[in-house]
Order: sequence, then structure tokens, then C-alpha cells
Amino acid sequence: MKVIETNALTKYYGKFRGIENVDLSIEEGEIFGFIGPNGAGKSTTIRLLLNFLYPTSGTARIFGKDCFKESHEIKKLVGYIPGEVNYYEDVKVKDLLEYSITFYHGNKSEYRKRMIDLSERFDLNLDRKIGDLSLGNKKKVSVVQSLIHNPKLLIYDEPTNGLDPLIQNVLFDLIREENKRGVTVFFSSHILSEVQKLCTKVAIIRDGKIATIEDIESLRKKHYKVVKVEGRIDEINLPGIKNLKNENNTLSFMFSGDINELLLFLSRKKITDITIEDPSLEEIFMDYYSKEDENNEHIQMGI
Amino acid sequence: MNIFRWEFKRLRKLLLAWTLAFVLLQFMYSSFFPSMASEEGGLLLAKLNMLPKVFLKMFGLENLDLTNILHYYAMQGQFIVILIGSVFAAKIGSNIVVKEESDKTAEFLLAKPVTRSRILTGKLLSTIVCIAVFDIIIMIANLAFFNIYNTSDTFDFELFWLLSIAPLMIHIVVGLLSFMISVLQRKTGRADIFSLGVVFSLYAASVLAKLTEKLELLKFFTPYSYFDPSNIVKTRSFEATYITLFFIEILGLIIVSYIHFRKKDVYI
Repeated sequence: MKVIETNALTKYYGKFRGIENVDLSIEEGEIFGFIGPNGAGKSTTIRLLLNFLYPTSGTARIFGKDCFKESHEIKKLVGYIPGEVNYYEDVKVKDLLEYSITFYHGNKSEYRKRMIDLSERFDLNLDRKIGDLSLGNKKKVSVVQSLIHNPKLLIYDEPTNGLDPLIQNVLFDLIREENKRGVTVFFSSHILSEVQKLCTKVAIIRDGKIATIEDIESLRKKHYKVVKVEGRIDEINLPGIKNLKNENNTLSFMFSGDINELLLFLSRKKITDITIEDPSLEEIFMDYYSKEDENNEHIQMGI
Repeated sequence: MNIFRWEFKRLRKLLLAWTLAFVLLQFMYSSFFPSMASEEGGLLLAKLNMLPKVFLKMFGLENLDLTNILHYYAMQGQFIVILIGSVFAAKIGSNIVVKEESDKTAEFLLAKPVTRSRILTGKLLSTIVCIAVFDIIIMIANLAFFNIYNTSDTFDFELFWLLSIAPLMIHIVVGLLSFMISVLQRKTGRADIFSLGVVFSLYAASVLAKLTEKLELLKFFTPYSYFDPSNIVKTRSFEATYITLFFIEILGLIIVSYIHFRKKDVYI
């Protein structure tokens, strides 16, 4: 079943571009990463999904329901963490969470138990005033708040923002646990390593448009290799070579051509050392982000 | 109801502070009354009546016999309770919606399984209840103070209720007007200032309507004219035209607020 499905979703803020023709399709049980630099349209997409905004055109559905007509129905099953947490400063954490509970039908004492369990897990003091909390602690409140009512879909907008690495791990463990119970996760970030750790699928958004949607493994494997060769090679000229550097007798480049041709070429040279590796996600994504020669290179690299 | 309860709780302190201040002010003004009704007071009043008619009209002193405690209230109450109380109503109404967008707390509420209309209903109810509690407590306090300091043997309850309901009616229009401004605006500061500007303009319009015949038509556009205390003392009633206008206005303000909020892009 499709949990999130958008179709040519477009939002303009007056003349300014928010997102354009975003098509997303997220299956039940996926941990779906949504990657892009700041200002690319990640938050706009999420705010449309939650109907803080109305679209300029296009459609969006969650659990088969229209995001702009039945949003309140959808939200019964959604847990949301905002990118920047801004809660009522003058109330206690506990009061806010209790208020949050009043919005959900279901067993309130079970929710309350979950509130206490989760707070303990995140080492969150329920009696503090929200205004007195650090950024990281506010984020913890929003994490707890997003999980109390046992949602079926988590929409997390840069959830690790402001959390220290230890707590990040607690959060990731929790996300994995929830996922195992069948919860779908839509997770935006501009930090690639965390997406790599957690997500099964990823969409890359740039300048308001989806650049690509791929399985995280195939994205890494299928496209190209990072090659380093040490030895006496003066020149290498094969189709599919990119970012060629020659330093201290070491050639390094990215290769997306026929690997046999490369080996054949190298076998005729005198080399002392060689490594052929998969690129890191950073290297892949830098490619999507870099504006120079974008079209040519993408085509060349088959991305 | 959970939104109403939450919102009302958040207004509680402000409500308490303003109500207390007004009860004290009313106590103070009521305690001055016996000296107004005394001989020296009578002398002052004789002088007052020699002032130009325009002046009397401007300060709402027309038709008033200031040795009667209710007429005395009609004079002071229109500035203290009606006008300054409007500042309270405007403050409550103008903050309640826009503040969530300005402080970015709307993100919490909008992510909950409630419709936009229910959010607005909770906020609207707490605005109206807050204003009603404010005016009703002042009403009860006045009833007590006026009976303590009344120098005459009789107390005109009918006129008392009319004069006491007037501020409530005006405050409700002002509150709802500010509420609508709060829905339309995006920044707290601007909604505040805009609402206060509208309040004082409406008050000024009601004074101008009294002073100049050419501008008499203005009285149909401002709630301060609908429920003008010196006029209530004279007619001992609310005019049907004004009551009709009052209901049309509050209905209009509520409808515009709902229509706009349901389709609004909330920027956070």
C-alpha cells in the first residue's frame, strides 16, 4: 500500500518557487530519506503534506486520503517533528504533552505511560518549562510528542538537528524499532551519513525539483567507482573518466565506463598499487548538488 | 473543547490582572460619588451645565444628572470601562490567532488531528468567554459598589443592566474585529497596533457622529454609537436598528474569519 503519494505537487510563494512537480511514492514500511540542501524545498513538501500550506497545483495523498481535504483524518496516524521546534514557552513539558494527548482518541493512560517511558529513554525532565530548555531538549520534547499516540507514519523534518550524537543514536534505534512494527518513516535531512545509516530509499530534491529517487544501495553501487592508481602512467584516456587528478605519481578519478577496458588499459602499464572503491554517498550527492556542467555529467554518469 | 480550555488557561493571568485593575478603578470612582452628590458637587455641576453644548456632547455629559449614581457611571464608565476595556478586548482578540504563526507554535496545533475550523472555534470561544467574564465581573462589582455608595434611596435596576450590558456588547464587537484582524495578519505586532488603531478610530467616529450633523451617518458604522451611555440614559433602551446591526456585524466578522483561516497558508 502506498502511504504517501504526491502527483505533480507544486507550490509557489507568490512568484517564488517552493517546489515544482514533486512526485513521491512511499510504500508502507519504508524508511524514506528526503535529501537536499537548505532551501531546496524539503520543508515546503512536508508542510504541504501536513496541510499547513495549500498547493498551487498537484495532489497529495497519505493513506489514500486527500492531504488538503481530510488532513485531520490523516493526522490521527501521523507523528511529526518540525525542523525547528517552537512550542509554547511558558508551559511545562508535561502540560504540553498532556495537551497533545487530548487530541487523540484511544487509551489515555496508555499514552501517558508511553509519554513517561519515552521521556525516560531520552532523559527528558517533564517538569521543566519549555522556555528554559536547550535546543536539543526541545527537540526531545518533539520526538516524544510525535510518538505518544502510536502513529503509523512518522514525518520527521531534520530530526537530528540539535541532538547530540548519543541521543541521535537513541532516536535512530527508536526509529528502527518503530519501523519493525510496520511504521513508515519519511525523514528529511541534509546530512548524508545519517540517511545512509537509516534509510532504505532516498529522494534527492534540488531547486524544488526531485532529482532522483533510488534505493540507497543501488544508488551507491551501480553508478561508478572511485579508482586510485599508483605508478608510472602519464596519460589515461578512456570514456567514462571524470575528476581526473594526478598528484605524486598517483592518479585518482571516478570511472563509469566499461571496467574491462579499464583493466585492460592498466594491465599494459607498470603500476605499484591500485584501489577501486564504491563512492561515498557524499561523493554521489555532491554530484547532484554541483551546478556546473550538471546536465552533461549526469548523462555521462548515467544518473 | 480541549483547545478552548488550553487557550482560556493561557489567557487566565491577563484576564485576572485586567479585571482586578478595573474592579479597583470602579471602586475608586464609585467612592468619589458621594462627594459629587454633595453640595460642593452640586456647585460644580451647575458650572458644568454652563459649558458649551458641544463640549458636553463630546464628553458624553448630555442628558446626565450627575447626582444620580447611574448617570455618574454613564459619564465615567464610557471612558474607563467602555474605552479602556476595549483595549483589553482588542488585545485578547488580536493576539490569539496570529501569535501562533508569529511565535511559530502553530506547527504544534496544525499537526494535530483537528480541522482548521475546530481550531478557530476553540480560539473564538475563549476570546468571547474571556471578554464576557471580564465584563460580568465588573458588572457584579459595580452592582455592589453602586449600592454601597448610592446616596439616594432608590436604585434603578433596569437602567443599571442596560448600562452594564453596553460595554459587553461593544467589547464583543471589538474583540471579534481584532480576532478577524488576527486571522488576516501574519505578525503579532502589526495585528496589535492595527486593532488598537481601529478601536480608537471607531470611538472617534462615534464622537464625531454626535458632534456634527453632517457626520451623523457615522453612527451606523461604530458600535460605540450603538451603545452610547448618554443615549441609553435618555431612551432607556437599545434601539432595534442598532441591535440588528450589531448581530449582522458579529456574524460577518466570524464568517470572514472562518473562510480565511480555513484556506490560509500558515507560514512557520
